[in-house]
This record gives sequence, structure tokens and C-alpha cells, in this order.
Amino acid sequence: METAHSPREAAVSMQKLERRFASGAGVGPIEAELHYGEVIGLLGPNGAGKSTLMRLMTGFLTPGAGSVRIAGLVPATCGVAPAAAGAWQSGAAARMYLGYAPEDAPLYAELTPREQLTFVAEARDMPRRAAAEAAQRALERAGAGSVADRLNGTLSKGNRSRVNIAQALVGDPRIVLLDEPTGGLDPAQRQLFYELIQELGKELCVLISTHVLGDATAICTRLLVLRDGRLVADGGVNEIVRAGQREQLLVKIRSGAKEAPLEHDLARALGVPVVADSAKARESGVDAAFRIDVASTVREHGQVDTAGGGAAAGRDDAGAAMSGSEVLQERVFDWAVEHGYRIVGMEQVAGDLGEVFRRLTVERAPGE
Amino acid sequence: MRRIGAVWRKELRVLRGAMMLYAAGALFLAFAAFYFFHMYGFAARDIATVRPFFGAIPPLLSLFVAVLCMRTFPEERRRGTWEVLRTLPLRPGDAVVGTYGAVFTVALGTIALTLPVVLGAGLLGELDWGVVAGEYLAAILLAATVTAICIFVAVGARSQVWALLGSVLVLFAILYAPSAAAEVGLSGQAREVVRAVGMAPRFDDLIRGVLDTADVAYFVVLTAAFLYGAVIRYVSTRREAL
Repeated sequence: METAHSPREAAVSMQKLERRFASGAGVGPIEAELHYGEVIGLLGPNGAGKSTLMRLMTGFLTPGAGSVRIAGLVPATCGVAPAAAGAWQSGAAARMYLGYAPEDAPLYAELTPREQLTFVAEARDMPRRAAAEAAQRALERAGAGSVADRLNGTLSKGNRSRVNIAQALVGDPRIVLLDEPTGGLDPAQRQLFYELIQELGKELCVLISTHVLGDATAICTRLLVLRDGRLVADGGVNEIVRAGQREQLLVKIRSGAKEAPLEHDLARALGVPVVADSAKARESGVDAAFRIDVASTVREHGQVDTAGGGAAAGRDDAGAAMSGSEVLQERVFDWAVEHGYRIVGMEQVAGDLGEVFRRLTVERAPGE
Repeated sequence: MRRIGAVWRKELRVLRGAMMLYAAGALFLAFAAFYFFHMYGFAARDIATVRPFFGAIPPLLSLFVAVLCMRTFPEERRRGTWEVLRTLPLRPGDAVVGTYGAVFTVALGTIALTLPVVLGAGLLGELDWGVVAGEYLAAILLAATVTAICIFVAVGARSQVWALLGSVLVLFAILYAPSAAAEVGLSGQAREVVRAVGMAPRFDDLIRGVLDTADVAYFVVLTAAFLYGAVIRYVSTRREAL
């Protein structure tokens, strides 16, 4: 697949794409376009539909409704009428654009990586000699050249992952789909993988499904976030963080008590979720540190949802307007005084991608 | 053709690595030779013929090929390589025919391994080599059809056990339907129909040295029909939930 593509040309186009299973799980409806020159992270918790979406793109599954097109072609059909023969041909042509590494690195145990990748290259209609060369190139690119002639069944998890990634690169496909590709890779291998993907992402369309946020922020230029099979965010990493960030109050306490009961006690007193931040507590040399979402506190207590804490959320004793953050600080202070704890610091902080991801994929909006 | 060749080579390599293949092949040959020399008592008879040896082949070859086919698509499903195979730029026919070709090749190789038994019998008595050629043609046609039937069952089977049971059931039904019909006292037109679709009588005709084009056509048509059916089943599995 040596054809040059414009970066804005859609490599993958999904229109009202939907596939539901009898259990109710599945994905859709999804509307999105993926382009050449992008490294896209597909994020979501377990069961969000990441693998199903990838399987729809590869043609492993057919859509229940809507459509997916790979470089303008439909990747698969389950039509069996004589007229479907053309669609079978077109499906094979669409899959020529794709390189795919499925989750859990399924490999033929009786073959060596070289044999398996040569098979993949031959299935891409390459002559035998060219296929052998393509297999060797892909193995070296993925850092699996040293295990090329060992049986797949004897490989370590890390090496299996590398062979799986190499499998997606054989024959230079224009669209590379990697489903949880970094499982089993050590930090050095992971770094090499990041460099490889960044190199590929200059020209190709690369889609990586992961729930490792480090992977996503290190290499992706765009994120698609799935929850319960639906696309809940689509944009650049910074764009999603900015849009999803909400102001938090970071409270540091010296109490002599353990963190867990304090967390429970504070959450009960405020009536909103409180998240312990042990790393911050250790870093600051205090007994406990907690993050409390300002907007949820204000919302929970029937006040104006200020989000940024700028608008008036309450009144102080003298009747002056108080922001959401100030209301929250006052309540935390009252709680600490009541229990005899010492507040070492209270500061307003912004949530990071992890916190934004958690909110996008776990938290439910009111009434949801 | 290149893609069919790719699948054929891959499948042969996978089967080469399966110990079960060697065990099943050895059992097939051992049973056939044991039946011929010991139970039938070839050396103690006045007639030099290997027909009883070939007569024992249908059930043994059916079991052998069913075991081989258990290692194809159902095994791909079990270990997840099904997803690799189904997402490559192969047309449905490439995957089905390539896999069929590999199993048929192994079956042919196993039939070729019976040559020492037949040649040994030729040394002990005067065999009619024209009839022997017909018997080998019958065995090859039988292998082609049995493989197509087992591939048809294996494509849609969710597990290896179902693939094996399903294949054996369908094969024995097609092989022995006429004998069963006679046993239950089926008569008239119904018996003729059952006899026409049964495989064993046609195989018996061929190993008797009667080369009837209708018998040859029967095996060719049945093979093509089950292979086409396998392609259709392969395509429709894309609907499946996993």
C-alpha cells in the first residue's frame, strides 16, 4: 500500500455505527472520522466497547446498524447471496489498508514469528520472497528480530506483544490498529514502542486502544473516550483535559489518625465524594491529603453550580457573596475544628487527565 | 491462488507441529494393517486381493480426517488466531479452500503411506494392479469428500468436541445410510433414494474395479457442494457475538 494520502482524507469513517449483543453490551451509535497523520488513543474502562469498535473496523464483526468504511471501502459483509461475491472482494481490498494487532497477542504456537509474519505478508498478496523480506523488516522494526526463529509457543509475554505489533506492520499498511498493545512490555520496550508509533504517526493513521493513560498522553495526538459503548469525548489530549477539568480543593491535614477513616468521615460531613491523595500527603509530609470537587459540593447542597467557583454560591455571616470554593473551605474548616484536626494547607488545584478520564468514564451526571 | 497457497502452507505448518496428527496417522495405518493381515487373514487365503484392506478405509479415514479438521477452524477459535485470520485481506474462499487443501494433502500423504502394505501383499500374491489403481482412486475421492464434509462442519463449530462429534455424525450418516435403510426394512423408492445419496455403496463399486463416471461425479459434486457450504458458513460467522 504505497499510495500517498492527504492527511485530511478520512482513513476510517464511522457513521451511526452500532453493534449490540444479546447481553446489551456493545457499541454505538458512533460518528467519527480518523485521518492519516494522526495517532489516536481509544480510551475507556473494561467493557466500554473498545475491542468491539476495533473489530467492527477490521471487519471481524459486521455492524448491526450504520456503517464503517476503510479508505472508502466496506471491510466486511455477512451477505451470502451470489451478488455478495463482489462485496467479499471489496472487503478483502479494504483489509489491505489495515494492519491489526488483536488484544492478548494471539499467535500460532506451532509457527515461528518469521513463519507467522511471512504468512501474513503472503495473505496480503505478496510474492514469497518479498513476503519473507517484509516479515524480517517488520520484526526488526518492532524489536522482535532476535526471536524470529523461535517457536511462538515458547515466547515470553513481552516478546509475544512485540511479534503481535510486528504483525500489524507487515506489508506497510496505511492504517494500523493496535488493541492493548503494550501488555507485557518492560519500560525500555515501552519507550521503543512509543518512538515507533510516533514515527508511524507522521504518515499513517494509528489507532491504539488502551486504558493506560501514560500510553495515551505519551504518544497520542487525539483521544476518543468510550463509556458504555458511546463516544463521550473526542479531541486532542490538552483539549479534553481543559474541557473536562474541574476545580478541586486540595486539603492537607495533620491529625494523628489514619487516612481511610478520615476520608470516610470527611465525605460524610460534606455529603460529597472525597478522594484521598496519598502521594500528595507523602510529598507534603502530612498525615492525609484529600481532593474534593468544588462543583459537586455546591451542586450537592442546592447552591448555584459555579464550576470555576467564580459566581456567588453562598453568603458569609456578614451577608457578603462567597464563591463555591469559599463555601467548601468554610465547611472543611468547621469539620476540622469540630474534630480537633490541624489543617496544614488548603489550595485550589486543577484536575489532571486521570481525574478527567475517571469523571468521563465512571461518574454519572445527575439524573443519569 | 497466492493467498490460497499462503493459507495452505500455514495450515500444513500448524498441522506438522500437532502431535495428535502423528498419533492419529499411526493409529489409522496400524488398524488398517491389523485388520487386513490378522482379522481378514490375507496370507491364509487363496485369493490375492487388497479389497478388504480398502474396504476398512472409509470409517478409519473418516475418523482420521475428523480429528485433523478439529485442529483447523475450531482450534483457531480456541486460541484466538481466528481474529488474525478473519482480519487479513483474504476472501472467504481463500481461507476455506487453503485449509481444505492442507487437510486433503495430509490425508493423501496418509493414503500414500499404505503403499508398503499393498506392495507387501503384491509380493505375497498376484495382485491385479488395474484394480489396485481403481482402489486408490476410490480412496482419494473418498478423502476429498470426507475432508470437505469435515471442513463444512468445522467452520461453524464453536468447539473442537462439537466439530469432531458433528463430523463423525454427518460422515457416518452419509456413509452408512443405505445399510441402515436396509436394516430398518425401508423398501421401494425410498430405499433407492437413500442408496443414491449413500457414500459406501459407491465406494464399494469403485474398489471392486467398476469405474462408473456417475460414482466419480457423485464424489466430485458432493465435495464441491460441501466446500461451497463451508464458504457460506465462514461468511455468516461475522454476525456472531464473541
